[in-house]
Amino acid sequence: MSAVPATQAPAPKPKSYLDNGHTVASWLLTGDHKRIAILYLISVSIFFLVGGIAAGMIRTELLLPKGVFLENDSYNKVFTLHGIVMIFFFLIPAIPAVLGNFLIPLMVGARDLAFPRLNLLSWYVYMAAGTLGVIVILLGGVDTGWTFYTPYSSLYSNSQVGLTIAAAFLAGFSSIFTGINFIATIHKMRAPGLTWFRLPLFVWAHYATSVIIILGTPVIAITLLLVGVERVFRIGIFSPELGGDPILFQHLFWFYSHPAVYIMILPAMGVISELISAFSRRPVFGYHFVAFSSLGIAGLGFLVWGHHMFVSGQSMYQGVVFSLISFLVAIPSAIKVFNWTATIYKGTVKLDTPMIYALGFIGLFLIGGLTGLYLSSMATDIHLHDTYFVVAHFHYVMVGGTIMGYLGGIHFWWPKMFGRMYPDNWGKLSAVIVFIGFNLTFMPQFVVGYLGMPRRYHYYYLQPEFQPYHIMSTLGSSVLGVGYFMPVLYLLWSLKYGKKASANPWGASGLEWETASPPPTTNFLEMPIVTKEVYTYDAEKAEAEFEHRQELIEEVTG
Amino acid sequence: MAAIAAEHAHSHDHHGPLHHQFEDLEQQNEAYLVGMWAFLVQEVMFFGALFLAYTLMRWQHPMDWYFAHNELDWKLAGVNTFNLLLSSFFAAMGVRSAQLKDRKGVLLWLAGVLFCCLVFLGIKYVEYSLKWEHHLVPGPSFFYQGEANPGVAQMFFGLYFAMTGLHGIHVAVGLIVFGILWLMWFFRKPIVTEDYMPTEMCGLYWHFVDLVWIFLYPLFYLIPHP
Amino acid sequence: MSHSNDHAANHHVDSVGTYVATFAALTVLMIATIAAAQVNFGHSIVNNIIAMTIALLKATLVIAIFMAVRRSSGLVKLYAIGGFVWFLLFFIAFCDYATRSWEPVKGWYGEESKVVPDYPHVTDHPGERPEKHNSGH
Repeated sequence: MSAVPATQAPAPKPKSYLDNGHTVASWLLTGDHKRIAILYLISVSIFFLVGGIAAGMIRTELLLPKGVFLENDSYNKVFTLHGIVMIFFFLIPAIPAVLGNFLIPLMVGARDLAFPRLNLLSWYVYMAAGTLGVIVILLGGVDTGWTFYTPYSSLYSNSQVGLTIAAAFLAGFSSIFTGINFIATIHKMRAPGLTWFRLPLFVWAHYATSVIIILGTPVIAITLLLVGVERVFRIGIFSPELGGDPILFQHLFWFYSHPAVYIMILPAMGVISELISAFSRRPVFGYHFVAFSSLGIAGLGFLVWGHHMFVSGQSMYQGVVFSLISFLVAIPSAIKVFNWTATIYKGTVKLDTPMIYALGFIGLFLIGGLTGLYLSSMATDIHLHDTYFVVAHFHYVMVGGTIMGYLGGIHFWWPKMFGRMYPDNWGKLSAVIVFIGFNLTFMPQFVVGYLGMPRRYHYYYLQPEFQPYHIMSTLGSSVLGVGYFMPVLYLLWSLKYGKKASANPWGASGLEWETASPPPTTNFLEMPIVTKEVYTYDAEKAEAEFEHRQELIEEVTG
Repeated sequence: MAAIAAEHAHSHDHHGPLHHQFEDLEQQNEAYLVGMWAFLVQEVMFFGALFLAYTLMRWQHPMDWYFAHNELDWKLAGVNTFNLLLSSFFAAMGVRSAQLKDRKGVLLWLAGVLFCCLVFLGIKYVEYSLKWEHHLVPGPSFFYQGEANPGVAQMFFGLYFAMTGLHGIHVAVGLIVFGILWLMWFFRKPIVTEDYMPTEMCGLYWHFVDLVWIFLYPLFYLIPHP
Repeated sequence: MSHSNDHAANHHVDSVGTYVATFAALTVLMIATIAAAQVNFGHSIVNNIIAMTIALLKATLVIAIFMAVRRSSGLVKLYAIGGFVWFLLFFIAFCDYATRSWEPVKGWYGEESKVVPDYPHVTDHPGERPEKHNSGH
């Protein structure tokens, strides 16, 4: 894709969006999608830190079979805090609200999202939700687990369930606003000539995500509201002793919360499509299949919620159907993975930081996805349900998938966002450390889970043989923590001391690389008109580079 | 094409109904419409979960549901149903006047919508306060002596208040939205007078509120004897 | 440009007569709902089907004419219909409730036993219970 300038008049040096006002008000009252993305970047990073501290406490506690420093009650609160903060305040908004917000208008060649004020409102709603979350922590936390299962959450828990529900409710609406914005923007604000099949796969993935958001999120909102109502007024909706049906809660909860997994992973898949293509210098193999597999995952994702409820007392016939459909989700997921690997094949692969993250994503997502098959088949799920196997599985998908995609995307578009390059060697080091730390943390959990360690327990003194796995896992989590903290340091360092980035430092294709780094407030000085197909990498240039590399290799090896 | 795009790039300076991120009013209106419908889809799912809970409860306790519903006043709610249909008609006529740029017509029809809003909320207030007096509001003061199982009756009234209450909140929001819209037309704000889409979007919201009530009315007030 | 496909349709203004007729039809349907609810058709299912059919008709009228979906772009139609179709997906949950007590093999659960108890709080009040209360067994 390329912009054909309407006139050849010499363009004045663009004033970047970062220089368009330096006051606090110019940030807090902005309608600029790029500034809102930066606001989101700061806020989700803070919540990632909060959730990470909770994760560290969990891992420390599990070092000894009799626990280290937490009581039963406080342990419950810590893992609940970890789950709620990481899911509602980090994983769900991370890629759409930061990278999607920043990039979708740039990628579709628009000046802004369709509804800038709604976008800003979404950030404020998110911050309101976050503030409530912090108040919950200060008031002593909540101990229901992030799943809020009834009747415990609605009748018995003495912790701050009401406020937490309000926080999750608000966070949901923040993502609904973002979703509505993306849908209207992607449908109606594409640059002239930018047809659906010229859209980057990042945009396709975000479109699918937005559809899931508007179809699923309201359901969790109303469900949590009902839990709150039941808690306050003692109406029997979910609590059996009041005549309600706890399985109904699980149906409603997972109707959203399973698709929510795809809200987290689909945008990451979009990021990976961009990275793989840019650093292999080849168009994505089977573009149409990858694009439609996003929609396929979005659609199928709504039909599999029952696989969280195999042992809940749900009808086994229903379970069989849910199990079968869950297997089907593997098809669009596998299409993506196969097509990414086919893209790399014979490509001129450049192992820059984002590419290492992308390769890490493929490896971790593969393990996460394949272990999902064990859990979606009913017979094995009965053995593995509520064990650390499940914990390891969803961390491989959500952490190994989403956070690898998020960090890869941040490293890829950092020069575009701030106009500075970061030290690439440090980036590569952090990517490798994250990969190693991650596997060291969660691989032992598969084993210990298979051996029978239940999730959400912090004592295992009857099975002291589990301890080595927990020690490995805790060690791994410290390595992981170092890996996650390194980018914070060198990326912040790069803001002041980094080399100035050109408009297209990676030589990548896409409309966002055709404007200045950082982009001007209106994104493009001349509104682009797209005349080329998507992912047009210069084959000759790539080949020349490939040969040049071969020569270098021959020189070195003699 | 390029020239058109370049020309439109400058059109965001003036303070008309066009926002700077759009090329022209056409594009803006279409984006608004898509955004509004995406929002309405979200609303369908929002109410949807409640309808699912309702269906399940009624399926499990058909008799109690029937007995409990006898406590509701279908005649009063019938008046409200007619009232909401009328308001929907007013809203549609208001949008029509906005399309024709007939300011007086818009002011008149929207005043009709606002009036119906108030009547609806008034009747709802009467209904709710009667339930309160009869101790039919779920909670510690709930006291039911009818034929239905008291626990199930409380579930019935719980869902009744949850669903009609959520709908009532939407009506109240509609009152605010249409109040603001009416004032904007009254003060000739170009954002509404030069472009019918804001009026149309308010209308869409209002029709959706009507739509929910179309289902709520038979489901709560007209339950047949099983 | 990608966004100027069917703009002509959006500017069409319906006549007053269309709206009046729609409103009249809605009112008639409302009266029909109320009237049908007063009649005993032998089984409550008939009443329910009639009530829901009328509600769907009314909803269709409101969506198609008041909300102008019949004149809108395909995209708006897709969203308008898609929302309601997706809502129906919820009712997959009912397959669970309907099949929960099915036996894999006849006699599997024994003569009297059931997977799902008959909501004990309900049977606690035998005097108030009509006989037909078991949920879909």
